[in-house]
Amino acid sequence: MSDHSLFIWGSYGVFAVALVIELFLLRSRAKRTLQTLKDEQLVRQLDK
Amino acid sequence: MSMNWFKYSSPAAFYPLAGKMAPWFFGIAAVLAAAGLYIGFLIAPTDFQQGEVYRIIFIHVPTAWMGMFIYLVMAGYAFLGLVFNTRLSAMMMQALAPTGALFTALALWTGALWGRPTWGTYWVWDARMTSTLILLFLYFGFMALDNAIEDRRRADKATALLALVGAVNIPIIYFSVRWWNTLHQGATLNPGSSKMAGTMLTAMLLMTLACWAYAIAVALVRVRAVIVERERGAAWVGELSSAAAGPTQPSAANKAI
Repeated sequence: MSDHSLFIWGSYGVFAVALVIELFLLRSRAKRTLQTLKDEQLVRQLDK
Repeated sequence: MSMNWFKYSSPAAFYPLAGKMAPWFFGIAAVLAAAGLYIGFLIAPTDFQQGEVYRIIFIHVPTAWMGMFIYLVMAGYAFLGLVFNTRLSAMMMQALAPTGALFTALALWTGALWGRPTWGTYWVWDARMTSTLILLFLYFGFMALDNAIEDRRRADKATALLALVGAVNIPIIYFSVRWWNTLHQGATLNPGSSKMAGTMLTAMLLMTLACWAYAIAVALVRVRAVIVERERGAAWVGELSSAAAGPTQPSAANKAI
């Protein structure tokens, strides 16, 4: 591209990686929340 | 026909709506980003002064705008939460803050990488950059305060106050290039007298809309997790957990019980 390609791809690369990390963390949190719900329900069932 | 908007200020009503809307916003964000990147890299011409490096504008300006805009939205929710005492307002603030911080950090990063070849420096303590750094610290402060106070009602009030007071920084960031003599260039968009080529402007606006759709989608997914975490004792979440448990096996934690 040009002698500035490191600056351009450094910007776009970090931008893309940051969004991917956010989406990954978000997915893990959503899964963890769902698992907690399932666990709580199972504990309630076992307590009955 | 009138719609009862207050209905969706209830977490129980908003939870399923957020789940339905999030995939649409992710889809819209992907399509807009693909169009914006296509025009930005393959159609928009090389800048006669800055060469290729100006293409950083297609992510720098949208992230900077989103950093400011998300904080304003949080301040709006803070106001609603304090005036109407709606629980969902605090949840939305919680859901928006990490994405706002991320966009602000990305604006600073991409700005530094644009500044080095253009101005000869990664960073100077000028008004625009310093006030944007303060915005990042406001986001960090918001999240730290939210985590530090255990009593949820007190945490919601304290963070709402911080969001409202911190919003004073937004006009300072926006008008800093007019009020002070800064190294940072003036406003990118001047209504009626934009100096940018049409294709450059189109790419930048498409990327801005993509970031907007992405932020909405992420906030909707995160607020669902926040709602469940905070409303665990509520009857409707109990019903939700019954549905979630379904025919599945207990997790490792339960097996250990």
